Amino acid sequence: MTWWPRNSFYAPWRRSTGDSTRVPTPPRLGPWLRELFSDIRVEYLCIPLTLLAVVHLAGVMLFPGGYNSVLNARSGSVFSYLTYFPATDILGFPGAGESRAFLLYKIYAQNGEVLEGTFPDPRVKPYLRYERWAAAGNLSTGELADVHASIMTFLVSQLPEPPLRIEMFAARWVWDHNKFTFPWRGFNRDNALELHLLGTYNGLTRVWRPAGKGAER
Amino acid sequence: MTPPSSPWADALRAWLTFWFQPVSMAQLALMRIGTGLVLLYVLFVASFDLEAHFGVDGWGEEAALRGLNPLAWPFSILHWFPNPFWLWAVHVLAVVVAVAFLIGILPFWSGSLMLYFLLSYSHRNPAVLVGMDSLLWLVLFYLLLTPCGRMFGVMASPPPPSTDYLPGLDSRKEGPHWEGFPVRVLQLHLCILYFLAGLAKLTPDWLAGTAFWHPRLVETGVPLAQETLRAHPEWSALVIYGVVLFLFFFPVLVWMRRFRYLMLGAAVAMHLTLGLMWGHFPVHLLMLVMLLAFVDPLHLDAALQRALRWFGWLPAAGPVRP
Repeated sequence: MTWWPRNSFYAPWRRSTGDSTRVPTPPRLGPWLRELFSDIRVEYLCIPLTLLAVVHLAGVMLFPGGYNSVLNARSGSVFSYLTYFPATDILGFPGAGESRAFLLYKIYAQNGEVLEGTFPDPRVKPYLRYERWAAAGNLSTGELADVHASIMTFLVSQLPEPPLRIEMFAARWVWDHNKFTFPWRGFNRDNALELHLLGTYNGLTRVWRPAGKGAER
Repeated sequence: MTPPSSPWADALRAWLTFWFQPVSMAQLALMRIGTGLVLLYVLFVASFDLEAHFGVDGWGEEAALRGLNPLAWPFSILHWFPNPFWLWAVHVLAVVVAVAFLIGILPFWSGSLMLYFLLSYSHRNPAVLVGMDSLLWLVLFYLLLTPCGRMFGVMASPPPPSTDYLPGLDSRKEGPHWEGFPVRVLQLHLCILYFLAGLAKLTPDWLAGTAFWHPRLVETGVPLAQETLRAHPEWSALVIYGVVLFLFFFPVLVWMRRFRYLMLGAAVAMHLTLGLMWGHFPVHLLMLVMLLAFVDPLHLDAALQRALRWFGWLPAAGPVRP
């Protein structure tokens, strides 16, 4: 690709070949780039791309759910945004639907009635909706005082009248797998329930008081 | 005259052929439609508890939940609109984008935007994340990198006025098939997921063969024949160990041509059974959509062509195209 002036001072020998003496045009970027990179085949991009995919998949294998429970380390890759969720099982996957922990609350109403509810409510349909509430309930059973207070505020706002007192528990199903007990039908569920008091809401003072560590009920 | 080949060149060619195999456009389109339908379902179900989970008056205050998210930059569009009206506006916009993805309007852009919305919901309240969310992120991420809007979409090029159906597979194209690369990564990612799901099942519940009668499943009204299981506990153990073994063997056997359709058939049976019995149907439907990536493109095109002819949506077969 000759773009220099053929009859210029810099190439006087070209005059003798009988070349044209037209006014030179500046180089066009597109053809120049095409010519420059013509030797580089786009197929060569395939190789680094496949290596990148191998690294990505190795990351998926080592950090399922963006987290490795053995190394207790979280994936630092950009893709961890796509694989992140709060770990609820050994591999870092959410297993809320099958988890054993949930929130249980007892509401002492002004008329003396005691209402018991769980977080999640098993009557919620469809299953995906229940599963989200179950994930929330499962996660909230941890040592998360701010979240407990936030849930209590939400509960109080949902009640038709202010309660006298609310007690919130972290509940857990515990049963002997080798015996026909609950959850088989016909067995008492309360025997398989382990409760741990998280805090108490006083309806008179409107104060939420978290329970100390090891408070059992 | 064929060019001289060396073992290294052959290995490199085999490596690249593995990653850049042709994919049927019909296959990608079916995956897009399936994912779009599940997306719409997820957004519809999220509408019931939108303000409770993501609103300012919901159960999880933003400051309290932020501690749960270890990511350095938990971005979310919902952080910008702490107001029920705008929360609903964003949700409606997400539904519109999901419809656009479903019907194939600029799938790359609508898919990217949808991924952004899904991540926004998750980062606003990470406590309500479930397995379905992570699967949706994955399939969206890989699908939006493919030309999944070329068939069965409003922006698809019209079919040629011929008597026979033009298959979505363009195997005559020279060079690497770039559209096959994300699909191959998705296949490998799925294999890893199956293997890890098998590992996650190595818990006392599953190893004792009692996963069927978990309290959660019982209290949500799963239709289990408890009396039969109680009389024959070996049946439930058989099914449970069968599932675990399948999850371990699927990632290996699905790559063997002889066992591929056997594995896919077993996967379809397992997902349909679990979906119908345990009420997880949408998440298992999404798994079936992802498993479409394993079907041979030629087989899928032929089956689709036959199905369309059977329904009368395609004229009878004409002369074979040269």
